[in-house]
Amino acid sequence: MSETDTHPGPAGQLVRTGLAAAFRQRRIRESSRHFWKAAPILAALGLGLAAISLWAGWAAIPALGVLGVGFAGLTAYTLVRRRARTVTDAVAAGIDRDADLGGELRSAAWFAAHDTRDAWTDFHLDRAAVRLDAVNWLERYPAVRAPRAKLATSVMVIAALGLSMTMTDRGRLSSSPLKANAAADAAPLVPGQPLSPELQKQLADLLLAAELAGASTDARLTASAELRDLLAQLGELRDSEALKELARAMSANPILSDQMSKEMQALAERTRRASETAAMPPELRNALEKLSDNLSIAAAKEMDDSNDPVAAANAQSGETAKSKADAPSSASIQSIQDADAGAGAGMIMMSDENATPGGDPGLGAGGGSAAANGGGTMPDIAKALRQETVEASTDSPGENVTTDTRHDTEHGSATITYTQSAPGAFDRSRAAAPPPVPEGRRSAVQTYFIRKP
Amino acid sequence: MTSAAVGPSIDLFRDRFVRITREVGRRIVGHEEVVNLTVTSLLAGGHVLLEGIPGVGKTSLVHTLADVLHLTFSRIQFTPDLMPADIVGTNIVQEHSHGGTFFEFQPGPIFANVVLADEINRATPKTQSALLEAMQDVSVSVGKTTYQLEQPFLVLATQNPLEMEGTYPLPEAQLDRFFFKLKVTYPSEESMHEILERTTTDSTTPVTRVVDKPEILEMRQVARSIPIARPVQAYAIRLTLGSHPTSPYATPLVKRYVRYGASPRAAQALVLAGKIQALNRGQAFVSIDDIRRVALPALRHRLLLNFEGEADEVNTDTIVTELLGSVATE
Repeated sequence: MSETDTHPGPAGQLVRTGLAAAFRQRRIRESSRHFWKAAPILAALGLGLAAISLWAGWAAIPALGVLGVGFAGLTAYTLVRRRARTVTDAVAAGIDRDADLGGELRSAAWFAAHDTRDAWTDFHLDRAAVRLDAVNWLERYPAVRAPRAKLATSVMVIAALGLSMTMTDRGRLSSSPLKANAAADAAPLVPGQPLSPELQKQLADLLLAAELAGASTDARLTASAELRDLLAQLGELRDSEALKELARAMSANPILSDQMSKEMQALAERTRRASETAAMPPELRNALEKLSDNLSIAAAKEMDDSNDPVAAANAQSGETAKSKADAPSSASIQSIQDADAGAGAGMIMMSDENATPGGDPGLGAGGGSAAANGGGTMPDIAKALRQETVEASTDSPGENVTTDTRHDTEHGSATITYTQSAPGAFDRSRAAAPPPVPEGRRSAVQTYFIRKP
Repeated sequence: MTSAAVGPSIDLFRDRFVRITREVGRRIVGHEEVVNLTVTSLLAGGHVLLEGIPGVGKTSLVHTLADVLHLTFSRIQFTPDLMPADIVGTNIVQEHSHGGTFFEFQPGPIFANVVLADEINRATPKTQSALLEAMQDVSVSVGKTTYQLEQPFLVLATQNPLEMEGTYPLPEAQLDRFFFKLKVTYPSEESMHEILERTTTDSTTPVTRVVDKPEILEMRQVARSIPIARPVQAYAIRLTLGSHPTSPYATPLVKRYVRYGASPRAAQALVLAGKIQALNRGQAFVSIDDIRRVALPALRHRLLLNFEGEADEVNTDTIVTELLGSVATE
């Protein structure tokens, strides 16, 4: 009835072209629709993350990252979706349905793609091309307006960026741990830059509370994250100028240059005492102890600079000098323990190795005889003995195991003598200090040996 | 034929189709869809099984169609004692004028363009099977001689779905040979008014012969010329395959109630009928909707239910409808 030709006819080309144009318009619309469907969600996610970051004190990077990467991905997806692709039967069917062509376009697309020509197919393609040409695809697939999505996205992105900028500003004021460290570094480490008044007050309060209350440090102070961060920084502080600045900042009165070493020494002493407060958390005690050591060294150096060899010698002796300074008040540690069943209570006294044999015997249980310390009286001694006897079996750090012993032992300055023996020369071999614990392992060793309550 | 001639031939086809249905509609009221599909079947070269309760106009429809198409018409009332020879004809002994005898073939009622097999399920399977060859090959064999039937040849069989006692349900092989199975439903109230007005007065509604034999054959040729895109044809195949319980396209109802699905004849019927539907719309292509439109009459009698389906009295229309809803069009 009709001849068959395999060459594509003009109508077939028209159908292909028209269909490709329709498909392109459709892809643009679809990709735009997807973009503006996802954009508000992405913006909301960025805004939410920015808000959470602001609340939690995180950096602005995650929120900005989510926004940047998200929108970059969305844009890439949109561009990929808009890329030219082959018109499949499903695509032709979809466009046919959208244009309400009753299956003509789908059928024509197949015949146009397969180049099967006869009179009926040509007729079919001709009519399909005419109908396809009559369709206004811009009208069928109009550009996506989505005014609400666009507005919501813009508002949320701007809000997220605003929050991120706020975070950046606040970060400079040490909102995040990283920034806080940087701020802590900047304040005391840089000579001439004053310590933050708020932190200065907290540090002073902490030292004062440690001096006055002893066993019960103000929990509010020790709980302060900023103070802990600052102390951690101060513990690592070795620059003498910075330490001078710290001493100057912590002093109530203006310091003359010739009094600097004394002031530093005094601060070192205060810090050391605070570090021995039992109720203080271990990390704070360590930090204060390090600060005390550094201050002592810096004080000695300052003394050297001011040509005061005596003071320098005292200062450089470190903990020894410290022990000397308050030998009567810093109670050498006694522990009373059961020697054996028949021997009753044996008493071990740890005292200054330089103590004279005929010296003040009041450095026994009870905290010494210094009236200022309120020790040395019989009731005090009895109380202390009873307490130590009863609690010896439940040693726990910060309670009945005083940190003095630990510190003295660690510094190799512990001395030992027997109260029931005749005073004699101290056997140094008995008090040999343990090998020095590496700095990095120190906290781990403490955690291991100090029994938790 | 050139592409320029395609348009007029489509228009001519459509015009004739509309004239036939309109003319039949002058006498048959309220069954436009049945008329449309019957003409479709005629133009596709198929046969129609009409199912409906008595008195809804099945026989009248066939009579009217034969009148309108200017075709020879014969009616066979199927009864249990009807014999095959009563349908196809038989050789009878004749005497020569000069003496002696000879056998002469006496054609049966099957030798007509339009054959009405009324209440076909009342005849025995043996007699029913006499129609098989005629319906499939458009020929009958009597003795050692095969006689070609004249085209167009259309068998319109009717059966009553209610009075099943003493009937012989058509075997699957014979059912499959019917292009369509059409259900002639009860007319609506408005249609009843029209029927009464036409049939209870002394005036009769005459019909004119609008199409003759050559025109019908030409229409058949045109119908087969229309191209069908492969995706549309694939849909017809998926529908057919989906009626088989083991097919991946099978629906839950098919899997549960169908023993055997539709044969390839069903796919042929879907495509051919789809083409005629497309031409009837004035289009030179077959769409998915054309296929879907004819799926129910083409598939409903080709599904063989299993025991559970028979016991639950499942209507095959329900299964086909579910199939149409689940088989993907793309």
